[in-house]
Amino acid sequence: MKKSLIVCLVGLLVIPGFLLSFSSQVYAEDYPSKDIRLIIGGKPGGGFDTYSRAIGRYMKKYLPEGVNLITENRPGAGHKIAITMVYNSEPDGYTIGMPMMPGLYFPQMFEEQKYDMTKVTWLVTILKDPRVLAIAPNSKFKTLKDLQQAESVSVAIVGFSSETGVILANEKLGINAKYISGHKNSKEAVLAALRGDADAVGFTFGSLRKFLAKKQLIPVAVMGSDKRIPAISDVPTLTELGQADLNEMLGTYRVLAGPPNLPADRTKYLRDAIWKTLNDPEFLAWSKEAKRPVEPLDGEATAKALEPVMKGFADYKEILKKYVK
Amino acid sequence: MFDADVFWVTLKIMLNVRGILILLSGTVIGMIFGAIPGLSGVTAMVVLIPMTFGMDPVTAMLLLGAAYGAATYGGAVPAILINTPGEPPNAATVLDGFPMSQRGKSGTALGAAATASTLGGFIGLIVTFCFIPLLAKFVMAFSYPEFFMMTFFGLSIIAVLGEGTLLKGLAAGGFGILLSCVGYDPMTSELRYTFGIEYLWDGIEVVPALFGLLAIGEVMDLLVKKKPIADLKGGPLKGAGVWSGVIATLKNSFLVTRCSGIGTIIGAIPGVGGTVAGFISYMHAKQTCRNNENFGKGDVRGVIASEAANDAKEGGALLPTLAFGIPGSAGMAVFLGALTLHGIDTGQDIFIANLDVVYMLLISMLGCHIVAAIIGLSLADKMALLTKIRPVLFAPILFLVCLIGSFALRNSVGDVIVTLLFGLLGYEMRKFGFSRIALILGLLLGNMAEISFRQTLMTEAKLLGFFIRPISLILFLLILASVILPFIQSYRRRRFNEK
Repeated sequence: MKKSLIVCLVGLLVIPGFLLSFSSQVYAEDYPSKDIRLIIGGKPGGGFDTYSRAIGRYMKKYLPEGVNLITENRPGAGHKIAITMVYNSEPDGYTIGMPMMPGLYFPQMFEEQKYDMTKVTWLVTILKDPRVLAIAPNSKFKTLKDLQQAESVSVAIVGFSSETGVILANEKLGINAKYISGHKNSKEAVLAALRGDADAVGFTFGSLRKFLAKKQLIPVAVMGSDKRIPAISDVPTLTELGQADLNEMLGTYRVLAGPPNLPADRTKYLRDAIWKTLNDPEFLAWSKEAKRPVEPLDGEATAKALEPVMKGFADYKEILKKYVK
Repeated sequence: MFDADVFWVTLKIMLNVRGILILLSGTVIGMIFGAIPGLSGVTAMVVLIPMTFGMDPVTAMLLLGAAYGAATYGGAVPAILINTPGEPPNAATVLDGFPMSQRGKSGTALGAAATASTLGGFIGLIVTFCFIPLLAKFVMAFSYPEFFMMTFFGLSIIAVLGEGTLLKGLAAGGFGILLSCVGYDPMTSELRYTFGIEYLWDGIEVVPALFGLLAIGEVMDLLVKKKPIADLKGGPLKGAGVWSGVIATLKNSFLVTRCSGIGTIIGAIPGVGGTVAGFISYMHAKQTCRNNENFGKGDVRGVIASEAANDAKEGGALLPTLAFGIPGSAGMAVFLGALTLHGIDTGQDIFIANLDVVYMLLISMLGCHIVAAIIGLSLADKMALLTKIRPVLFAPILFLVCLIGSFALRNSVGDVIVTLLFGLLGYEMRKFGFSRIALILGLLLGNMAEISFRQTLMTEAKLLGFFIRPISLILFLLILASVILPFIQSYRRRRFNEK
């Protein structure tokens, strides 16, 4: 009996070591000469996963033969696990990520993280998705003014760090919001609003599109977009509501990024290949059919756009502190 | 509501060589993914979705629906044979399925599981499709307080589990709830109990813990005891028994109906999750059946209750997915992605604009249950042989499969370590008579209970919210009754015996 137990215990020790030894590193002269890993924080089947796998499929054309862009799902901790892996990977151009911005910047404002979003190498923006503040139809409020005058408005959110932008917007617009957090995803939060448990929600236009089209939610403000959104053209942007500086900071960026200090030639190679993929007619056809819109911004423009966003949020640290603790 | 012409046209798409082949391959893939610990119906669909790009949406639904529908039955197989649910919703099947295997009756258990799954799946789908408008309103009546009461209901099953003493069961369950608190606070995103270990940020992943507690614990026990799983005191393992499982299920058809009803309703409520369905319906069976002293020791009705509810819940989960575009389960979320990928918008309109897709989903999920039942029943006696293999040959393979399964889940070595640690814990718990299922219940539901409890407190009604809403109050009273009644019964029995 004891012998068998010893066998078990040895197994317990040997097998993890075996698994770890798989991750050996190979360096090559020509870049790229092996598969490039795209580490994402989303689960299989979700939005991040769908975008990344589609890019991988159509990027084959622009990569040497035998080289693929392979999606690796490392969900958890609100995308922090995935970005930490990318950030601390060897800057050899074989590991890139799809961080969500500015969501991943907020944690580092309040606590030291194992990554620093101001230092990563930006490769491309796939899409900047504006946010929409919308009221539930059964709520006692009907307009933005109602919300501003109300004593208290309940807003369904997923978490305080993923919805930091909405929280800040509510503060600046003078809406006295009470938040109900802990919803698994934006859809569950929307359902809470539809049921009448919350008065309002504020998510990306992409995730609210269906509900807005069916008039299940009443949009009252667009955040993070220079222009009004054509589908809801009667809804003013934050700029029109007198919050121009805030408007520039909001909106969710779907981006691709590599670790800091990525060599310039490899950065250029990746930026070019991804840029061509995002403008590839077949990819665009997919994007239209799958209703996954793209509005590409090249790597330099992405870096330029995100820098003021991060600075801007840092200025509001004091206001945000009471929510994040 | 029902359009016979469209239904007939859709049915014809399936009823030709190509359609049947797609249904068959979908079902087989689904069953295999379901049966391998670590893979699930969701993974099966993610793998299959790229293959549907060249298909029209209706055919794509045939393939995906079949794969997903068959996976839940596949998950019952390892639950019965090796004490490891293929997917968390099969967890309740372990309670009676594995003890049956130990008594050499795995054939019966597999037969009963196949039949109950099929019937449950049928009932779930048909009920959902007949009552979509009614159910849609009903589902909207469930809010945070009701979510809490449902999970609390699931947790209260710890009190009636019957493995070990009540105190030990509560201790194990409480420990599970404590473990569920590890990681990010779901409401405020603060870190709790992580001891600076990055892996713990996201809490203890349930599936690797499940593998460890149930499977690895079992492997170690097998190696120590050096006896095959099936205790063959009553003569050699008979291949038959499969049909006795089928007959037992048909005899208990009223139980199947009730449990399928429970499964359908729980499945239809987004945010509660299917794992509760199996447990609540198991508890329901234990408390309403006569001669219930064998529950937990290998009563076939335990397997029937859990499997019927488990498959019925997927029918229910279709409701919010199709009617609101809000997935009722993880699998449905992937379904929703696949629908959008094929250019189909969900919401009430789907019943007008894409009725053929809806019908195909219904047909494929019904069809795959039939195919899965045929495959399952014809292979059951072969699969039952697994329980006869000498542990020295069987245990190492099982050990490796579980470790690879937990690694495959998220490509994380941390998950493998969790499996190993929980394996040791499971072995010790088993030895000292602590219920491992109670711990799993705590781990699985603790988080959900916490979130819905705190969300209720965030609403205007605060604590009162639990008692001023009718459904919540009824659920609360039901929980009280189901926990207290068994004690009153046993008290009265004792009094009666004294007299």
